[in-house]
Amino acid sequence: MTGMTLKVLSPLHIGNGRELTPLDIYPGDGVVYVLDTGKLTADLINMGISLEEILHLLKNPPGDAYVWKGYIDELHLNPSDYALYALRIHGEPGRRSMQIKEFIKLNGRPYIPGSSVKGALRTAVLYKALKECGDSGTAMNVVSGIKNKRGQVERKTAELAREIGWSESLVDFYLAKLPQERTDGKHADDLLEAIVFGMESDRRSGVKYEPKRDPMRALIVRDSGAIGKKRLAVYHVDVIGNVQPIPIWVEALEPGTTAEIEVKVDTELLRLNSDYFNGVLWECLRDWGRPWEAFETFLWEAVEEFYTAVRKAETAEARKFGTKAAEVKRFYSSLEGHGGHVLRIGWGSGWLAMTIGVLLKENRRWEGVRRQLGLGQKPGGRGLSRDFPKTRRLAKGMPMGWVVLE
Amino acid sequence: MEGRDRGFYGKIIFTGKLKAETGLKIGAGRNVAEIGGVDSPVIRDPLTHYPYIPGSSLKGRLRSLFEIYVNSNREKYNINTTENFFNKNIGTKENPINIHVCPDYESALNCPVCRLFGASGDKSNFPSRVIVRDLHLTPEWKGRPLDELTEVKPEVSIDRITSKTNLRQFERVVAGTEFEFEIIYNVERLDQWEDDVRNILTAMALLEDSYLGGSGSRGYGKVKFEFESVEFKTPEYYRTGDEGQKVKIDGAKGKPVSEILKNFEELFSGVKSRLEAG
Repeated sequence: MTGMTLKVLSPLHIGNGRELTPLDIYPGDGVVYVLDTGKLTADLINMGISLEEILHLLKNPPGDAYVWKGYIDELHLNPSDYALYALRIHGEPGRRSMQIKEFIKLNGRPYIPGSSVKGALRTAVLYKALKECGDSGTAMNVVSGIKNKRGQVERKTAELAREIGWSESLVDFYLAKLPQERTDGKHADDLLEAIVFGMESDRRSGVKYEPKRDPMRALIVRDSGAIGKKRLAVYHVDVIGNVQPIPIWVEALEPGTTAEIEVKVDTELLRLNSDYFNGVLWECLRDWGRPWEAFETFLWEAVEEFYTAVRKAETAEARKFGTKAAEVKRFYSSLEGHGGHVLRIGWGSGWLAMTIGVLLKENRRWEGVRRQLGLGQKPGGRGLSRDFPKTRRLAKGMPMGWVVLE
Repeated sequence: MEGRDRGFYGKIIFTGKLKAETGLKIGAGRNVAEIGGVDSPVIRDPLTHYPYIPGSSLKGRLRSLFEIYVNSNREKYNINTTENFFNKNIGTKENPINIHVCPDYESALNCPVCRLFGASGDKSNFPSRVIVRDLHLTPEWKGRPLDELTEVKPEVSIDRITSKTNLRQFERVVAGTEFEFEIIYNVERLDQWEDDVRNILTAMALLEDSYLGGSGSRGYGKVKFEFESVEFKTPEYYRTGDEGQKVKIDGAKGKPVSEILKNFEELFSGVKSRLEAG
């Protein structure tokens, strides 16, 4: 595999951390214009409006926060003359104000970062490695072989291996261990990823993640080429299960958008480092024959299995989408039997697609761990929801971020 | 110094553009990061503040890729297949970074990697036949404002249990940026120059399908070479400065690596006849 086409199946938003504010836009009829405010200001000054007045209005918008709208409408200017680009709008624009999460761009044109796609592939591989080879025996053997600089197995490492050995599975061990750890939730998976992807000896925790021992480094996913700005639109995002006081708007690629993206596996790197990789994943690949030859098949099977599981879990809980349930079910039905490699990336993917949640939820310990981690906080911090994940995001009735690699 | 017989038969000089097809991150190290700045700034020229690519980064990457290539084709290169090719650990015992280095001058002379890129062997050294200059921006890109040359790319790492995110910001040179490269090959042996030059080109072709700099496995660092000129400067040129003592390889201008490799015989025929004529 090398050159692939990524096709967007449902609105896709990958943010750059910035937001377009009412000071950047002009809401038109079914379109939002992103303004070249420098050009507009220069023309307004030429028309006799003082810079002081413009600055005053920008600092103190009069009720309606679309400051430029006043000038453009009153002076009968054509907003498209001052637009950097125009965005179709799906949903009603904010009447007096709106903030739009901006899509990641290069030289003003959107693209799909390789890191977004690779992250989604990695989640799928983690899922499959745990499902297929996450038995306690395999995981215990892998961990018990990790030696320190002096070639010895640390006491903590041996303890860790034993603990895993006593468990039903690696996931079961992990969910039993997690409540004992002081984790901020941002690093809850650290030890698990180390054991699965590759690790080195660590006195404190037994083992820790070592990127050089991770076979995933042989998977290269390039940034996509630039995508036409015309493929971007503004979507109003419905947050089902938690009414948002402030509406959410995102710049997103419309379904049907395509981008060229290179995905390749450096088989030689895998072969040469065969003795160096040491996680459950590599052990799993050994069961398939020559791991470096099996890697690519394993990867795409992982994608198929994981994202099918995510779709099934979402469909099974379609009632949580409320009035949109039928639409969502229809969307997921349309993905069944879809050719290529269907996966989910970007913002709004939800907990199920971004984590190994479909595996975790099967475990009897999960609910307790979830509560301990504080996942599923009710709005206003009023305790934890009984239902997790409670909220779902939809754009134009579609779950966001589904794409296919062909 | 066992029987060193180094010669000088001229230099082949490759120049051209290296284009970053995706964002490029060659880090300056965290110690120069400013408070409130990005996690990992790119390396910049201390005087002009323009980003640049150190020759050592490009040369190291070419060597590394070519080492792997040779290791997988050892029989073709008459290299002992029973010994571990990656024989020198330049990392730590715990985190080894294994490279190939011939232990002495004689073995390096017969090694396609070491005689090209040099070897600091345990017994004796072999000086590199290749020089890779630092790569600076093309004049066109130097004409752009500094803040248009790099971007700060936000990335989030997502915890695969809680889905909580960690935001990281990486500075990288924007896709499309072009740098000028100059690679110089010293012709030291008449029976090896052709193989050596082909090997340089092979390493360049390998790099185009790999990456330069950091975070290459998640999108960064795809590069492409485009030749501006390839010329051979004879020893006589270095004695007289006479332009007529240079052999310009017509047909290299504007060509990618693959084209140069494909038409190697034809393109380098002038160099060959000059070298054979002595």
